[in-house]
Amino acid sequence: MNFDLSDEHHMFVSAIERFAAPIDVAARRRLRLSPAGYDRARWTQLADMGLIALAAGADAGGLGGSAVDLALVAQAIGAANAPDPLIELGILPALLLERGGAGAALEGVLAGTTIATLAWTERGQRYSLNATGMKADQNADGFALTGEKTMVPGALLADLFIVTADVGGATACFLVPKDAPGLCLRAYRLADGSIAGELTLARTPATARLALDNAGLAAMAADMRLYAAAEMVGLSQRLLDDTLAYVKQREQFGIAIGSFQALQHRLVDCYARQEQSRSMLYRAMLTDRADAATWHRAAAGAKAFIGENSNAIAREAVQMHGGMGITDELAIGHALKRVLVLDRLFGDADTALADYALAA
Amino acid sequence: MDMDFSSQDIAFRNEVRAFLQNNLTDRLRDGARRTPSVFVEPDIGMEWHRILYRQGWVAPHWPKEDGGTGWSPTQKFIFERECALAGAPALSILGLRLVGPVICAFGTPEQKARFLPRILSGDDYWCQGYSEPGSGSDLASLKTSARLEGGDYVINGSKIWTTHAHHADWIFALVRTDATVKKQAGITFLLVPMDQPGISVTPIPSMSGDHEVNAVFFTDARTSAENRIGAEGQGWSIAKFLLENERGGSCYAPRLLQSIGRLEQLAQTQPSGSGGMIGHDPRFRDRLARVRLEAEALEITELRILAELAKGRAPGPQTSLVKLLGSNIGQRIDTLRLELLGPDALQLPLERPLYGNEAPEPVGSEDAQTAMIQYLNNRAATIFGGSDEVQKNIIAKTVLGL
Ligand SMILES: Cc1cc2nc3c(=O)[nH]c(=O)nc-3n(C[C@H](O)[C@H](O)[C@H](O)COP(=O)(O)OP(=O)(O)OC[C@H]3O[C@@H](n4cnc5c(N)ncnc54)[C@H](O)[C@@H]3O)c2cc1C
Repeated sequence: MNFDLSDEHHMFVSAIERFAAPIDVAARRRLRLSPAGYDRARWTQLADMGLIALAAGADAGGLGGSAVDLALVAQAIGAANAPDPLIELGILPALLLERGGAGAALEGVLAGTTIATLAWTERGQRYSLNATGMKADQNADGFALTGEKTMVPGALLADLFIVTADVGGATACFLVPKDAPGLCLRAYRLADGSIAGELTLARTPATARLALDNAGLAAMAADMRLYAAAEMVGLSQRLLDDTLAYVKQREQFGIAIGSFQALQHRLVDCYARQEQSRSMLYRAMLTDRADAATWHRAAAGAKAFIGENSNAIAREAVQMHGGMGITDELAIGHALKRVLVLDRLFGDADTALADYALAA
Repeated sequence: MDMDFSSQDIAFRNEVRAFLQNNLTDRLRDGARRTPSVFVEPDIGMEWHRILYRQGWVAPHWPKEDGGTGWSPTQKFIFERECALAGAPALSILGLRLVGPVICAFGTPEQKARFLPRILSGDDYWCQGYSEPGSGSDLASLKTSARLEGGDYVINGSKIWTTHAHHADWIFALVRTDATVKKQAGITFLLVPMDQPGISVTPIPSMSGDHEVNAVFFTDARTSAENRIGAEGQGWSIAKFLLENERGGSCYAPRLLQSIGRLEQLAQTQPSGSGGMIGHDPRFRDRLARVRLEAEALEITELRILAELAKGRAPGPQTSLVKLLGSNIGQRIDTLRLELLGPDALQLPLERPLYGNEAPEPVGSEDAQTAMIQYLNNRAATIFGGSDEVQKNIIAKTVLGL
């Protein structure tokens, strides 16, 4: 048994630390407030570091990173409070395109030259992966898509949409380039400052159908739950570290506020939550994937458990910073907002917990 | 013991209802509902303020001779509850609830004549200069100094978290006039005009994207000695009087129950994603029911305090209990609202205002458009006006005798 990071893992983590270091809170705010909520040049740098390629196998032109590698990368992004949507716009499309056999599109995604995003959320379906509000109709040329999606990540960055749609009662994935006829996008801002979109398609031709069924989508969701949980563990570590540093330095009544027992005990609770979260993350990322049901259940449980802990730590971090905590000028607020988004990616805490409980 | 209203109370309630029916416009209701900031925006708040002023109802908490309504505590409660039920905008507390009662209680006849009518009419907008960068919970350690020079106080230092300083005509400030005595004894309460070269205001953006709070810098700022409330060194006891008004005196429960009612409604129409509505999900339904119980109990706690006040007792440390409970229940409602509204609740628009013709189209629903902003802004409820921890310290010491 060994829970130490390998040399290679240390390398990933320090590469991300170096990459994220110049982005202080002010730079992060500027980037998030820019029209697309992010910067393509920065994305290219991420791709050049091989971080997106980590998500695909060597046969598919990737670097063949393991789930542990990817989870550690996501955690490091969280700990750095970095503004990079690596999990939703890098890892997610890479996994789908590789597993769905879309080699040509995958190549651009791994290189960072194509940004692809998955459009799966439907208003009427809440967190369910079953597409009902988007229909794919087969015709002589292939498939045409009609319907609506919401909360599509990276809406203004994406060159390529991977759209889930209903085909005769099953959910399948289709590729739709951003300039496809009948495609209409309405962009809006999410809590973490990123830009999402409402996507409307009207008899829009798909360029390809991925070789993925409902089970393939469920597997992707399990992966994403793990990586979202990993980023949240990084974020709550950052929230806790910053708060510990603050209460040691901020003085009121002539003494550091960290000397008040009322705060000390709650900080110990936060620390316990964080340690438990980290253990749960390790448990999920080291779970054997041979049995899909066991692995999906582990990912669902980890996401629910870690989401609850990270939110609780984030709220305490704000409270213990007093007025400073509510500003947009500290990492605290930014981390809290990112946790709120990640906690709802592929199901909120109730949904993930129910998946865990029902799979027992 | 009974919880019934008298027949006069019921007649009063009907009068308030009729007034709201006739005067609370759709614009005001819409503005109130779609203003997710911590404090009501002057635009909407002051419009309602002036309507109430014309009716003579703007300052129920003031003594009748200074422009108050002369209502009994029960009537004040009825008025607040009816306003909440009707969806009326909140009023800015800065003039009416904070500095106004201070001037009523401690001001000279000249000061009352000069300041009170303009607070009532809404001609002057006020802000509160208590907190400083180094003095938040430990307010008595404040450093901003004032020294008498001719007939003026000359003020140097800085205040922070000053809500709506960018809208204000006046600031009421705690300043140190004597650094040689015990820290509480050297504090003085001054009224200072904002429009002068010695004062500058810098915005502090909130994580919600709102601009409500500011840093205020004083560099040889001046105010006439006639604008000192009470004596030099009396500032701390005035400050405590004001904080008790800030914390209690007002009722949280009516607005909390109103918000809970709205969530109960929404839960019936929000799909759960697995067939049926969220309101039928036993986990969500039970959490919402639990918060309703909490708010219903708080309503009675508030009425019990009002009944004490009716016997002529001053609001005391029990106001800390109301503030503690009210702000925490509010935050639980905010969390439930986010859960309820699902993916749509992740939107965080930065455009303001969210009412009126210029407002951006919401994604999904108007409730979803403001849910995240409310969640983020209301984190402040357990921080301002004395944090939860400070309220608990007060209760532990003064109520429980620990
Ligand atoms: C939205 C908003 C609006 C505001 N508007 C105004 C305004 O208009 N005018 C004004 O003057 N001020 C205003 N404030 C300031 C507010 O009153 C202070 O933020 C508050 O008093 C806390 O002070 P602080 O921010 O310095 O935090 P600190 O006092 O530094 O507290 C940090 C943390 O330590 C805890 N702590 C401190 N002392 C103790 C203790 N003895 N025991 C246990 N825990 C302790 C606190 O509870 C908090 O969690 C506003 C604040 C906010 C957030």
